[in-house]
Amino acid sequence: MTGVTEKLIADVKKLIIERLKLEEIAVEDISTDAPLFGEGLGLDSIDALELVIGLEKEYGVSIPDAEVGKKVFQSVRAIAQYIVDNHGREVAAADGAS
Amino acid sequence: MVHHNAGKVTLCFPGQLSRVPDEIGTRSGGGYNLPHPFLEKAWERAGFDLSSFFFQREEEDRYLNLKLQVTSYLLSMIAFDRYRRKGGKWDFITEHSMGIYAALVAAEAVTFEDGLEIAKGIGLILEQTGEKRPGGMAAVIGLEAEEIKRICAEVHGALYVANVNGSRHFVLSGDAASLERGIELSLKHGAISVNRLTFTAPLHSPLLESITEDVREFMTGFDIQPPQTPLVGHWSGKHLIDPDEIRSFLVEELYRPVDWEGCVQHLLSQDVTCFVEMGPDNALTKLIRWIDRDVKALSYGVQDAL
Repeated sequence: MTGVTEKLIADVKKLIIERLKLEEIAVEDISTDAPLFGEGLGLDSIDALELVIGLEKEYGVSIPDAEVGKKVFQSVRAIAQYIVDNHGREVAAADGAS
Repeated sequence: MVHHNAGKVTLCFPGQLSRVPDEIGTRSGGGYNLPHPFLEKAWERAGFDLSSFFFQREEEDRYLNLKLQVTSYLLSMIAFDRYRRKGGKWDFITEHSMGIYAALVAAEAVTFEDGLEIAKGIGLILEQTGEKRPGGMAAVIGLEAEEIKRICAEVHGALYVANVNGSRHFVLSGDAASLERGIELSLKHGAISVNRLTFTAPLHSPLLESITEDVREFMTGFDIQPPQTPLVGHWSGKHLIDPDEIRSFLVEELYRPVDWEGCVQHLLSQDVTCFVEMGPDNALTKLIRWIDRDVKALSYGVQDAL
């Protein structure tokens, strides 16, 4: 996969923790490639909606439907890749700015 | 895990679990081995064994939702009992959907035994209704209220909004064919997820007005007292005070929608700063997080209570 930086991976993990108020979980606790739903972090569809809103607010990317959602929310890496694929410039700008 | 804080505390009793909790039937030594007198009473009074998730009577054991309903009631009651014993405090009690039965017991309006029999009896009426006239329910996440209403209209059948759980979280209820079309349309309109619930009866929809008399008659034998803690029902936060009013609520709530968002908003207006969900799941906790990100919401599950 191209364009996904370690910083973006860490930022996505931070977004998940903040959006879902996972107070007892640290960035290091979240695996980059493990499934987020069901097994792994055990997220559910209410969490998915929180992440959809989080991605819209932070990165301006939208998840148009359940089918896309299913692919994007497979893992942290898949989310990061979706951000890059949809808004490469903004991600680059955000990365450079911070 | 007992919480003290300056604002008011609300205990939330969730509706029926959508699946069998992982702990049941999977532990060595017969599953959910919670040493609790409520479980013995469940066996004596309702013929239900939680550890192996079965009813003694075959004609009851074949109903999944009936078992989920009684399981939900028991697990909420055990969580509440342990919270109380540990000195946990509360100012309000509220409930979502079928959570009303455990909430009534917690508010001392009915006894544990009666609560169990009411939960089981109404659960059985619903299962039999679902067998005669199959219907169902589905949770739709991501669409807004206007879109949901439009979908119900577009279906041109018996499909209704059964729960308003948040600004983008709804439950649809209707006859089997209409629900099917509602699910398809919701996905087509961009819902983030659509999950069919296990219910076979179209709960919280006008289709269940037909069981009113059966439920009213079933309820006549039970003694209901005024709640000892302010009890806030899932109709936009309606306070349930009078026993006759509670009796009517138990009948009418089956065919009227749940307004959980309105209920939480009402409690927030009453200076509630902490919501504690009583049960093994955290569905209400997550819905509250959606409604107000700043308020404290947590789940006091059976495992926490151990």
